[in-house]
Order: sequence, then structure tokens, then C-alpha cells
Amino acid sequence: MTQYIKKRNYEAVQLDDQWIILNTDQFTVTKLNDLGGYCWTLLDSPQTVERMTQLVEEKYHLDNNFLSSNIEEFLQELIEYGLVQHAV
Amino acid sequence: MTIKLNDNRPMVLEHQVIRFETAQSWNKGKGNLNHPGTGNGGINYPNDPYTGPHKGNGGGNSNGNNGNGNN
Repeated sequence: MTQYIKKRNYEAVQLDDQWIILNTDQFTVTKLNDLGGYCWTLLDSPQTVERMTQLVEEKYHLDNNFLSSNIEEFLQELIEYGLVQHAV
Repeated sequence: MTIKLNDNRPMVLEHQVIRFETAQSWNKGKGNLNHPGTGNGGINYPNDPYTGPHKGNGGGNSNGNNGNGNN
């Protein structure tokens, strides 16, 4: 089962319901919505998509049948931006 | 760059590169003019500082007094 983790503990700032992640290796700024920010905090330790889905559902009580694949897409995007990697 | 408004899933709203200038930028300042870096292709400060007349006050609203001392 694939696990994901932050590439590094990049500086993250929460402003209202948005999060700003500063990638100081690639000099990029990535803005996440509130749910994305919560997922970002979970990635301090290795997480599977299934576990993240469970934690997000517990916290936000979402009505979203596609949450698991949404989270996977989100993680792929963060990998593309150099913020997240597969946990070894 | 579009901002999506669907909040029942985690989303990246924006992603952009930071651009900024450093000591190896274009204009001479008052600091070290012999910077060892090669960030501008090795050319340091190619432009001499402007010494001609200036119009107005640059849009600023300062009265020229800095600090909070009692006068």
C-alpha cells in the first residue's frame, strides 16, 4: 500500500481558510484550500490514501463519494510540485 | 490561473514561482559592488546609477523624519 509523506517540513502559513506552503528548495508558493491544508498537516508522518480519507471524513463529515480519488489526485499534484514524496 | 470553488475535497488553489531580486540585481546600491556571485551571468551592476533630475517625490508621503524621537 503506497504511503505518502512531506518531502520536507516546508513553512506553511494558514490564512483564514487557505494555506500557503513555501517551497524554499524550488522557490515556489502553493496555496491550498482548508481541506488541502489539513491533508498537508497529516503528511508529517507517512499516510496512505485510505487513512487520509478516513481522517478527513471524521473531521469534515463530507458527502463526497469520490473523496479517496480526490485525495489521490491532490497528492499527485503535490508530488508534481515537489512538496510530497512516496514514503520509503 | 483559476481558483476553483469546490470545497468538499482537498485542492491546490494556486501554484506559482517566487521571483525576487538580490544583491546581484540590476541597479547599484550602497552596498558591496563587487559581488562574487554569478547570478546575472557574472555581470555585476551593468547600469550606472541615475544621477539626473527627479520629478516629484516618487509618490511617497514621507516628511523626511524617521524615528519617533521628540523634537
